[in-house]
Amino acid sequence: MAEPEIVAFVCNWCAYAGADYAGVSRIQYPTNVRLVRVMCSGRVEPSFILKALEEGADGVLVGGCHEADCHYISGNLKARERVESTRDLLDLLGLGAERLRIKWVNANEGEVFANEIKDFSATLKRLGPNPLAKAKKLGAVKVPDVDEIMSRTDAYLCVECGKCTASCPVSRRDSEFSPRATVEQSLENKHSELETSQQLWDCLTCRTCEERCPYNVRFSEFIRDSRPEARELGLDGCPTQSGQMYSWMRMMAADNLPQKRTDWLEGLKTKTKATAKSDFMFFVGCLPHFNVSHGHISPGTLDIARNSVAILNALGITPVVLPEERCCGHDLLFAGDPVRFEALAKKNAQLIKAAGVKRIVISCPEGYETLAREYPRVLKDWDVEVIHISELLAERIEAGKLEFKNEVGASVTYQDPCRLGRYMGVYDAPRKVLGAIPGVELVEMEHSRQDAICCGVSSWVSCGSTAKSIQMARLAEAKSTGADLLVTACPKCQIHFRCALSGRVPGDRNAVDIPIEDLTSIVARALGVADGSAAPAPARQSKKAKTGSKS
Amino acid sequence: MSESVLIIGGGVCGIQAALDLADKGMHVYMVEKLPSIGGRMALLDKVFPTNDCSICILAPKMITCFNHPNVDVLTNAEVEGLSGKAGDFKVKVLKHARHVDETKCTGCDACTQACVLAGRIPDEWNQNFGTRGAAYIPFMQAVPRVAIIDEERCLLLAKGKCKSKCVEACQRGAIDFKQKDEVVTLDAGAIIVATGLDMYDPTPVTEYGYGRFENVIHSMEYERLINASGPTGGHLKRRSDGERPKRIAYIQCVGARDVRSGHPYCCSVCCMYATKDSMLAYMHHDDTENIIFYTDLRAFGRGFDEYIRRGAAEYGITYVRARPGEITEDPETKNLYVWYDDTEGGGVKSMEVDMVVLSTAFVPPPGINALGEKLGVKMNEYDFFKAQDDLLAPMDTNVPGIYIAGACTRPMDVTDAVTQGGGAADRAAQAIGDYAGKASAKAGSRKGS
Repeated sequence: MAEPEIVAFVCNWCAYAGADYAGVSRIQYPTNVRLVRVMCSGRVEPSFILKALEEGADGVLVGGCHEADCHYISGNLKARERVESTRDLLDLLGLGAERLRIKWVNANEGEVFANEIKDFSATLKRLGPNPLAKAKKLGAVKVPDVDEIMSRTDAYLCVECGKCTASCPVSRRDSEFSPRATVEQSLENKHSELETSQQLWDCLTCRTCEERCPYNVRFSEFIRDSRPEARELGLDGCPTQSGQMYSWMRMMAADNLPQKRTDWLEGLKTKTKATAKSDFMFFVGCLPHFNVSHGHISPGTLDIARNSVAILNALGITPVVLPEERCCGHDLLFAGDPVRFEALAKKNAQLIKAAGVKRIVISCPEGYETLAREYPRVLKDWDVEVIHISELLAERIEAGKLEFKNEVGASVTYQDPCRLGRYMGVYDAPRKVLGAIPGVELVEMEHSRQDAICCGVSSWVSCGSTAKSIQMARLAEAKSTGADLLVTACPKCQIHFRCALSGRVPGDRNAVDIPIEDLTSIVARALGVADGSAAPAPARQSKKAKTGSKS
Repeated sequence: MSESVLIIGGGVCGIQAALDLADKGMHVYMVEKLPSIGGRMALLDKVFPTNDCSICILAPKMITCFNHPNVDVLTNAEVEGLSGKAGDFKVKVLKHARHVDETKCTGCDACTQACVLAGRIPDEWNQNFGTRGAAYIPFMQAVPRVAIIDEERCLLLAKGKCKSKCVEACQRGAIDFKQKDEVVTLDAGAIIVATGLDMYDPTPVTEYGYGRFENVIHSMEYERLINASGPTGGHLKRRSDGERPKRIAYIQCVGARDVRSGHPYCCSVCCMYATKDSMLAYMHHDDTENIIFYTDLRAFGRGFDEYIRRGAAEYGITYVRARPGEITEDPETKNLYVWYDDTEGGGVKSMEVDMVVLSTAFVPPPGINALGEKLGVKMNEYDFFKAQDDLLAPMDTNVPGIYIAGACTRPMDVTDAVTQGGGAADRAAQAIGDYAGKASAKAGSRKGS
């Protein structure tokens, strides 16, 4: 193998100076290192690292000041945390944690820098080249024609009555954003203005407007299919975490990247059984990945995966869990990358068919919608039945085949995820499941079912003050029901709400602070198969005081 | 061969047709499903564009029609089946038992007051704002003004157990619990279908909170509230606290021009009636503010546009071009916030109001398809009766001898319904004349040979 290519992000004050010192001291080290100088190693986001690897770098080094030497006090410590979690991600992705290193290098440690590069090179040689460098290049985005989008989504039928805008949670907070004005703009042949605007990326694609539009204009689809052109122009709105999720989702589109995504199956309390070949599959989706990428807010998404499998086992189902499974492609599709979405769809279809799967159960509503509605659109022979885990549970409850052993004494309120509710029309199943759990009292929020308010962010773009305001309003609604627990059936809702509560909140925390849990967690507890870590994230307020007042 | 005309539906359109025919000396059967004729118009307060009192102009027609020597009115009756053909139809009519002898009852109200359930059953004639008993007279100006006993609610008929105070109270001995449904067969040479309309039930439009928020009402409820003979004696009151609303919002096109509701058509009247409703509120109390949220102002009839302009200029009506997205409620005051996108001024706004009136669409009445099937008349894509030719034969159907008129053909106002009623009467009379002529010609030729 030729010299491995290394991208090194080095801080201005120590590591870069160290590398410079190595140079002026004529210390020899492999030449295939590309130095990227940053002011502080704390500036290096996981997205930078992933981007470098995605583009074919064999390894990434982050170089910073020694502990306590950071010129910005603790940037290097933050960098270390990020690198550690990114290494976990690289493991999941099958690239391997060893391709990423962090090293403290002082300004006078030229030798240390050179040695690190030598050592890293040797390791990378042993690992072999980054498979992504040789991955088949995917074709360019075929940008859909504006007229075609408009007639397909019935945008031409718009009468500009503004019911969409008056319904939109974003428009209510951001006067720049208006679905009505957006469609009007395109009707006036000014679609290109939309393409270069931030508004294109501010839409939540939550379908509240569509639910109410008297002429059935599919605005979410209109936005979704207008995004690829903007992406071709090099625009991508303002992705969250500077687009790291897109990076690893795109990586999964590569054919030759062996995934390593099923370690979490080990050590489940219920002696979980999963198999490689069966007609019943549990589609995991990105749950393990989110657990890493959003580790700082305890997203609890891995619990969803573990509890789902435990629940299926309790129902007497040993599902297929594919170690090679890919991202479903939902987020890339909605972020303007239909080409990679299709590549992911094809790859998944091929793996799923090979495992002999006839029926897929899935706990993520976005994956559910994608597999059930988008795959048949882009795949010729996709005939696999897809159901959401809440539907499976409701089915069993209705047939009298499922009873919950444990009483869960809690009053809960339920957040309808956009994809499960407005996209797939599943409103009753989760409520039926919650209603069947002994001791659970379901109280509805002011806006529920088709009028439910979105969790504020979709497909990892535009997470700003508008999103936060939507989240606070929704959490306040949940809290004002008096429920002990906010249950949702979507890992993304859970991430967004937990994130909103993770930092400082505007106004009175008590008015919004409510524990958030996935449907699978409460079901697993009721079945007595919950994983130890699946307890709901505690609210900041004293739990003791609460239970005390209740008893 | 029959020279009678059967009219299905006793609303203003059917009444007009009946009177036109009867005054010509022709015999008419009128079959009305409900216990009183009068239809939708009998329940309205005023009618646009003249703001005439609705029942004041209709009641005389109702009575004339009912008492006309050439008209036989069968109320509480439905068409069950049809055989024969033009000139010689046999119509099977199911006459539901009224349990009150129509020939004896004087409409004195003694039984309705004596009924043990009096005041305990929501009164559908008053849009459930008022109450009635199991023995009741539909409304003050009902024709015939004869009591009826609600079979499903009457304790004796439904449960077999009641003190039957109504029987005691009736001095004429008109109450007859043994009365049974009856099937009669009527001979008719021609048929006019004038079954009218239903109002869209706005419950599925969850974003407007009808059924959830007490002070969101629909236009038919409004008509009864503002009607002097309605449950509040014409005082507009909020359901939540009985207070008079001072700021009222009207939301147009609820269930109309809406593909989701299944009614993509314009209901053609709600721009006008919302303006009328606003004028009425202002006439009652001139400190009332009325705001109409419209999609497009479709004031297309004679004098309509002037009416709207008068509404703005003389009655202070505010017209806002927007279809609100949502209504929310203040849980304390029960006031409502109308969220709308001001398409002319720009920006999402919310307006606090005391009451919201949903201007609901005219939709085909329930059972219209079943009736169409019995008659063999085709329906159009929106489940109204299909005219043979919308432009040139608007009252004719695919079945010779059967004519359609009024709001069962498309949404329309009183003027149009009356015009069509007259038109259909003429088509039916012509047809019967033709058949009679043919029959006598045939008879004549037979004689001659």
